[in-house]
Amino acid sequence: MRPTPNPRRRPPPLESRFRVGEIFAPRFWVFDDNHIYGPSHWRMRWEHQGPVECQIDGSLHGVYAWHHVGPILEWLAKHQTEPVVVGIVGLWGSVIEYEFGYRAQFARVYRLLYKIVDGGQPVIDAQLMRLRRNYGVSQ
Amino acid sequence: MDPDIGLPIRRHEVTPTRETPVIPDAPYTEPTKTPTPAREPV
Repeated sequence: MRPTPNPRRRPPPLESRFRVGEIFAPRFWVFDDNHIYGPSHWRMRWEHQGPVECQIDGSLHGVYAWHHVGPILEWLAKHQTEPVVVGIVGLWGSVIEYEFGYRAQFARVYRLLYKIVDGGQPVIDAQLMRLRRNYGVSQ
Repeated sequence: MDPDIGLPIRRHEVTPTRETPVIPDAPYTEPTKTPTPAREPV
């Protein structure tokens, strides 16, 4: 006798869509004088040249980004423990869309907009300008 | 810990083009006082 499927055990497969062109979305990084890093505990370094690749299936979770910058700023205002840079990334490859953001297989930096320190006002300073030069972005 | 991205909605297979992209801005706006859910590290 076949067991009765439990509908709660496995979520239904996600609807799949094909798109041409990157998905642009805001995210944030921690940083030092020369590089930006993912904010999670393993601090993945984003290299100056070329895209970041991170599988989204299995044990890896892909590159995170959000639909809008507002939730990032609100979260930083309450939880920030170290300075971050807010910017825009382009996402492509396999991308899973969530209610408030994305997880993507590939990403590239397109903007490094401003630093946020202690949940405060945006800062554009010499350190940010150096990071922009390193990553070849104009703003 | 990062801001929560919520529940999955759909999956996209995205192919970049050679065209010059138009990149949106994400200007700073004063954070509101509404609570934002938090999640474990990503």
